Amino acid sequence: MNDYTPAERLRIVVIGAVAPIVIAAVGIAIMLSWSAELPDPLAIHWNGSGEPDGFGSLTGLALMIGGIAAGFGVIVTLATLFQSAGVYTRTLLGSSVWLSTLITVGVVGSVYLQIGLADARDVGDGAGIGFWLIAGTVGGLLLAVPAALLAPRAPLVADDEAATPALGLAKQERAVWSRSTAPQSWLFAALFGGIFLLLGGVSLALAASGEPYWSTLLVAVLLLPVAVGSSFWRVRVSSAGFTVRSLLGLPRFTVPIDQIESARVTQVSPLGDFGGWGVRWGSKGRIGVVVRSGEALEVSRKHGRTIVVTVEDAESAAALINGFRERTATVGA
Amino acid sequence: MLIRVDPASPIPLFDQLAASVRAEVVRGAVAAGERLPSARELAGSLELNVHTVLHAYQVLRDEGLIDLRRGRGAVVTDRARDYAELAAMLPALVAEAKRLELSPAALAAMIREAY
Repeated sequence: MNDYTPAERLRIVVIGAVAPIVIAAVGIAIMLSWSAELPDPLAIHWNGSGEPDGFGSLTGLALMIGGIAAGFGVIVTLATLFQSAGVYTRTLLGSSVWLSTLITVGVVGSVYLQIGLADARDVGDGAGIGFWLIAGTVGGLLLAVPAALLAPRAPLVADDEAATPALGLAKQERAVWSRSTAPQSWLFAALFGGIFLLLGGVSLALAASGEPYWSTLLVAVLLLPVAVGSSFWRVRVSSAGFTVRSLLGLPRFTVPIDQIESARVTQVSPLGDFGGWGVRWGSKGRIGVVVRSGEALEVSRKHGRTIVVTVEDAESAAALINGFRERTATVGA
Repeated sequence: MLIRVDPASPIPLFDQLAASVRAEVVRGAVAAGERLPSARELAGSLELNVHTVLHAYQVLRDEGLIDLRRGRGAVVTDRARDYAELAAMLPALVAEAKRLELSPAALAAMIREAY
């Protein structure tokens, strides 16, 4: 992991947080300048058949635009800085600009349609809204792509980590290495807390408005095993090879020992190298089982993709794999 | 946790296995509360008889280092923390034994005598 220079940090902050907030601020200013000609309350939500079915105030809309643009922008910028975000820096910063533009254009457009109306219910069908949402999506891309290109290129992952020295194994010696891996506890708490607060909140909101809420509960029930299954893993190295298996049994990845090219310890930044947590495609075409930041075991295959697993004491695991490889080579010679 | 056993060594396999687990506890590679692999799994990976692994686990349980509970498997106890101090004394002991060109067995015998 390399770090950004101060100039690059400044660029990250400007593109990821300042630009989205400025876009939102311009949108809010335009919207407020129309306030004398707008109905109160405004239509803020349309149902599937294009009828307005939710109403709110201009201030509420302004707060929503500002809150989403600033909230997402700040989170993305902090994540990019703290995680030294590597290959995903540009995607993340671009998406911040894109989201802010979409929200701003979509909402300001929907308000523009209501200029001069006495009652927001007269705003009519949703065709106009559709136009503004498409305009926001496309306009967002037109801004986000150059923004992403202006963002600093990912700091290259320092690739000076050599293969871990092999563990010396006696001719008949048998050995196995096994360890479970799980998110650092704060991450775990944030993940599960976040999911269930969100689902709980949605369920409560639906229940309060008299709509069926069981579907949200169903989502929670389905999501729980996915969250658990991609958070808790057991990693094993034996004479048969390397296995990383989810607590639920699946998914699992296995590499027979004679298919392993080499193993080494590497450092992983989940967001930077893999764009997040769980089972991921990462930089340099690697498959990652990424549940924590820091130490990771990297297993290169003779054919196929390299597998990276974030696990403590990866040093011993890599040394053992290389020990088995070396002994097989000696016996074979 | 790295477990190594060598059938070519004169030390009984269960003894090697227990020593290996102990060494990992001392090294800090296994923490209190952590669950060891099941006896069957470990026996499979090391091509040992399940009874050999169970024998080693019983030795560790008698020592108070692990808890054996039906359904929960072998769990490392809080005692793991207390091993650190003892472990800190070992390098000096070993260094001195090496200086005197004592074999590990001779050093072990001396410790046994001292008990």
